[in-house]
Amino acid sequence: MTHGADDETPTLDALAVHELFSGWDKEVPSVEEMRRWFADDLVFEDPLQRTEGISEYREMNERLLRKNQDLVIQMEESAQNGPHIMFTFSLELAPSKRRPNLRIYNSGMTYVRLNNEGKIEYHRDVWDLNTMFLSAAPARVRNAYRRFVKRFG
Amino acid sequence: MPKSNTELVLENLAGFDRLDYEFVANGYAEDAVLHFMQEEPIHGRAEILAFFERQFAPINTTRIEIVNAIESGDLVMVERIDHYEWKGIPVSCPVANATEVKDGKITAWREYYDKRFAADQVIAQSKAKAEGSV
Repeated sequence: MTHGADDETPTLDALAVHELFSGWDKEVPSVEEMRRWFADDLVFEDPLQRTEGISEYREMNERLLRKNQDLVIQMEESAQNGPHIMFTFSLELAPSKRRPNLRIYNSGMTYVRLNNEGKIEYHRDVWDLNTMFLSAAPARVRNAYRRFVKRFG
Repeated sequence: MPKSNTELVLENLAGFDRLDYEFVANGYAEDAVLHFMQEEPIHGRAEILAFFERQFAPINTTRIEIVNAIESGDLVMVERIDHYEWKGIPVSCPVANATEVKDGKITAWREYYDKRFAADQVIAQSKAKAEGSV
């Protein structure tokens, strides 16, 4: 994490963004803590939803953590060009308390853009919803899906 | 002056606009790996070319819109919107790729996208066509 002229206003870089998100699979920071790194008018988009503002964004992350067991998110490769940062991630979770052996896996790419203050003002995730649910399906369903995709995909 | 890794990757992507899959495959190293993250990885240039020719056969036109391209050492990460016609049906799909380049050749290409996003458009437009509203 680098600091501007005023040490109270640190700016993020790719490594710091890695660091920032690691640990969110165990605990999501409070809105006050998040204000240090995220712009108040933060926009988030992924294949399921769009949120506006820090509170909605925090609530979405908190929901992901609360509704799923053993959530593990791993940040992988990253690259940065000025205010544009991208990184890939993998995700593993158990969607049901009653069936802890049922695991879902997915991987995706995140794009974040920093504003003039070095805070994240935009966060977009690209990942495949079907893959996530198929990863928990029996092998015969996964194979049938792959055959379908090969033929019609 | 040698091309940057980003320029190589963007030139490679431009090959899809021309539907020139041989050009695209030639940008890969002999032992490269192509991994559409929801599928099994494909190993080797010849297999990659065969995959492109098979998978994209129903595509009539393609235009790849680059949203962001960022380079860090051997790694190039691109966020893009792929516009294409699949059996005559126009589709636009957000896609991202993480690509490793060594000695001017692509050694690994990991592709991330939401297949459902494209499928929804094909289904909706096929339905509309069938109902005669398009």
